Amino acid sequence: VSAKTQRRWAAVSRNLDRNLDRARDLDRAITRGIRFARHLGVDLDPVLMLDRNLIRRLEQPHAVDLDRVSDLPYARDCARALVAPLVHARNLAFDRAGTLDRDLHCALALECSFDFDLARACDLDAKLHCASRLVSILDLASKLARELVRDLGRDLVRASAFRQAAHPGQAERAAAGLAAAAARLIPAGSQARYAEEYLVELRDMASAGAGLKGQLGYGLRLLIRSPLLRTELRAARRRGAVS
Amino acid sequence: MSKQSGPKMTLPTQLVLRALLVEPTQEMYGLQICAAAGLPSGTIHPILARLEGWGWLESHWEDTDPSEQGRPRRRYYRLTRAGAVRAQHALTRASTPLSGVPGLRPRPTGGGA
Repeated sequence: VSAKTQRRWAAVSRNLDRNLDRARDLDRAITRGIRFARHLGVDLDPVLMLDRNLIRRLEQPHAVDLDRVSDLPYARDCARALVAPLVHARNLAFDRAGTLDRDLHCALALECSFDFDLARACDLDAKLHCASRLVSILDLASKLARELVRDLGRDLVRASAFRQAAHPGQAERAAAGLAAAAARLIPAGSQARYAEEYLVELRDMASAGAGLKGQLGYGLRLLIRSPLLRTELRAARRRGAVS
Repeated sequence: MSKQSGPKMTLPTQLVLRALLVEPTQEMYGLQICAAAGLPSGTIHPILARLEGWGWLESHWEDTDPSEQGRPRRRYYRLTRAGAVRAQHALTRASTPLSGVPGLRPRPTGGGA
């Protein structure tokens, strides 16, 4: 081998080493890119395969024999073929990154919305708690009001009875006068009993809401039937005297 | 002239007895009996006196304090045991025709009064 040929092969060998280093750099970059692409969900296995073929084709002649450079054209073809998938992979990764960026923005927006909804939910929960306490308080107030109404009604009836006993109304005074007159028409021994009986019935009628007409009607009916009552009482006394 | 064996059974008397016989052991005061019999208030005292005179009824004053109740005492009436039996028989025998009661006669179907 001549000196010129040796120099030539030495230059070829240096170029081959340089290209092999570049191919290794490319391989590392592709490996990182593929690892990242897997995280993004992009399938770059064909690119990896081409890359491995390129490395193998470049390493083989350098390791075995610089004379055997027949694989270099194939390596060059592999490197050329690698360009298009890498561009495609780059575009895919770029698109995927864009999609992920949009998704991230959506997620951030959703997070903000979720925070807002959570704040509203907390606010609503606090209001619901207040409303529930308000309902229980209103229930208690309603129960107390019902009891108060019942007690007031009872007191009102009692007060009305006492007021009527202390200050009988005009209608009751007139009817009581008729009842007293009716009692005076019966035998003396029964007058007190019937006077009291008439009076309590008159009070019961007034408590039940009987008006002037009803109370005076009661007194008049007593007065009209006094002779009949007198007859009955005398007859009873005669029968008692006979028996 | 035959001796009378019981009170005169007028229609109001029958109504009062029927009202008392609904629950013979229950005590009722005057207005209650009026309401149960469907008679106006102030009309039953002669009837009650008649029935009491014949021993069919017994009465007593309400056992309460008038000052506490805010009203006079009520007079309560109740059929005696014998009175309830006799009243039942008397009502069974009594046949008061409605046509004999003034105001309860059926109206004429046509023509003048």
